[in-house]
Amino acid sequence: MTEFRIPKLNNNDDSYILVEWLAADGQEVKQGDPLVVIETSKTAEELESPADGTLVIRVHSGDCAPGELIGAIGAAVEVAEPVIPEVPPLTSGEIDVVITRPAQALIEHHGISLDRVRALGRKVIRAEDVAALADPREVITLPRAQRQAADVVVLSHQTIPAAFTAVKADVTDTAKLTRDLSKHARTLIGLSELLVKAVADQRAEFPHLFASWLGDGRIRLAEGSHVGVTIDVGKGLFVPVVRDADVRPLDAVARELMDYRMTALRGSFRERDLEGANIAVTLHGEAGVEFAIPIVYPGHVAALSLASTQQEVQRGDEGFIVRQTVRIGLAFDHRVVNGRDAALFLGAVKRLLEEPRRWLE
Amino acid sequence: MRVAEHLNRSLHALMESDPSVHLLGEDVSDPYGGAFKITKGLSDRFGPRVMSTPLSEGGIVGVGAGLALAGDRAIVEIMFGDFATLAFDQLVNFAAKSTTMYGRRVDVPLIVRLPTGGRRGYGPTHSQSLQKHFIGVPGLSVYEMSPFHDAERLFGEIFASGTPAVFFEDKVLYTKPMLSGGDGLHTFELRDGWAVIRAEEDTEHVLLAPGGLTDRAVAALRDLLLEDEIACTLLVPARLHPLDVTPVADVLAAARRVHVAEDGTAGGTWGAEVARVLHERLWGRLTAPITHISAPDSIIPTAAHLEARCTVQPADIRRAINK
Repeated sequence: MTEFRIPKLNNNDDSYILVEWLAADGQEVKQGDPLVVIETSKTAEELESPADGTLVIRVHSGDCAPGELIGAIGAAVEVAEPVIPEVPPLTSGEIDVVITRPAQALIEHHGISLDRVRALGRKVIRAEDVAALADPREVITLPRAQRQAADVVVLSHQTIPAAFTAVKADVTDTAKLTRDLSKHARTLIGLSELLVKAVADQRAEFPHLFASWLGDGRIRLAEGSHVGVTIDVGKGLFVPVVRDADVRPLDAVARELMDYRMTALRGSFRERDLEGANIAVTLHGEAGVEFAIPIVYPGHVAALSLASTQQEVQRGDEGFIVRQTVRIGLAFDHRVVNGRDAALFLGAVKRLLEEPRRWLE
Repeated sequence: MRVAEHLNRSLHALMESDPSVHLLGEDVSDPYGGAFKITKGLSDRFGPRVMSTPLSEGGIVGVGAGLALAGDRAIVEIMFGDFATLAFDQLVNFAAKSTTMYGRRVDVPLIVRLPTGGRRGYGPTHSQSLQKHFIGVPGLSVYEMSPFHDAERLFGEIFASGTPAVFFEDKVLYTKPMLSGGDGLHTFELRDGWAVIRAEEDTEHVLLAPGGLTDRAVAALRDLLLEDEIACTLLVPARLHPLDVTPVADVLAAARRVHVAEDGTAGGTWGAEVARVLHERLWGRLTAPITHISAPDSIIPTAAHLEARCTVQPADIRRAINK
């Protein structure tokens, strides 16, 4: 039996196309008979039979390569396996899941079943997907409000070089005053309400702390004191805005804050409740909180924090006395104001909280 | 069906449906049917509308442009795209300009087909990719055959535009199958002159390449995803110039890295023009300048092992995207 291989027909192609056989499988052929048409990239060539005998065709059509055995001439013999032409790199059809090589290595390393991999429901499985499967710890997605808060604090950290200063205020006398004020105003007036109003009232003297950084060493001053106040009743952190708190009386500011607390408990904030602040007051009234560093909201220059009231033993004229104190913190954009401005601003706020008489004027 | 056969059938269909179409070129008549057999059967079927011409690229293109100018339509085959240089004057100074030189817009429905590219060992003057020399010629469109685009539709589109075009056809692509649907890993989507090849939507990486690079680009995409876990979308435009990226604006908008690959030699290339267009559109969204992958600034050698170093290989694309 004579093997019938495709000769090398040119220098350019590494594969040809077997177009058609000119003799039938099993046909008797003579040496020199045209047997098969092979197409190269330039031309089509007829190949002649190398011997007399019976033609046994192994490759019927399609891709073929120089040197490939496509048939035989001789006594009819059984052809074991048809030669499968090389699978072209691009084939049609859908694969249910594609596993990258790094992912495959991890699957084998952890002995993860393919069913679990398929259950991921992804078309492409990467190493990180498999690593997640191999890790028994639960992964959860945070609620939308927290994800939004995350974006805000990241932006703040990325864009605002904030410094921090804190003062301690003695609010022993103020505590008594707030009870009277509350009764008189028929709404709750506590340190938080006083602080919001006290902060708002500083804009005339400290306009830079209510400004907005524009870049290139420029800031835009505010047209009113719009104080954002943190409210978190366990349903996510919200910062509703008390608008024009500098020109409104204390009881109006207090009533609006009470409305916001109610909204936080029962309803949902409207977009306009949450927009337009130019400074923020963050409340940390939970017992035992000594002081807190707030995050400066992107677009603001300053954020204040009010910690919880502490009992403090101080030296008195005769022996010791117990005073109530509270820490007020100020985080500020150091591009706009410096420590001195911050201390003066805090000092003014502190005085308002420490001298309750001023609220009665 | 292989690309060569698809092109041949497209020419048959075009000449069948439009009796004003002429085809000219060297050795295009039967029984030879052209060096790459793209014109096989045409002269037997359409007689005098198919003309084997003397060896004069300038002459053939000039006659083709004249036929087009006179109201007929012409397809000219240059046996090897390298010799389009001999027809450069007819293309630039006659065909392209004729659309606007008569006081009113005049259609010049002319297609000059240019078998192109290396990887066949044909040597320095039969292996080049000269697309870049035709970029930015006013009144001349540049197309490239891909395994995704229907050639008959492209030819129809070019004729309908009334603007003459050069149509590059990669010589290795001739032997590859036409592609549609997908390859199991990637889906192939056609939209307004672009083929979008991707395994996942909104990939960080996007690769733009002409049709002749398809096999190497898809091979690189496979390795990038399966070995390096980098998902990349391949965009193949049928018309290289002028380039209209609006149909694939969403794919580009999602990209953070963009790469352009082409077979031409480095310097003043199509890819540089693509990068200019895309930098203007995508500036600020990209995390790195657009990567350019081309053949080196070198005359293409004949010896296979040296030629391989002067043509873009899948590994070159993968390496550039991986960087």
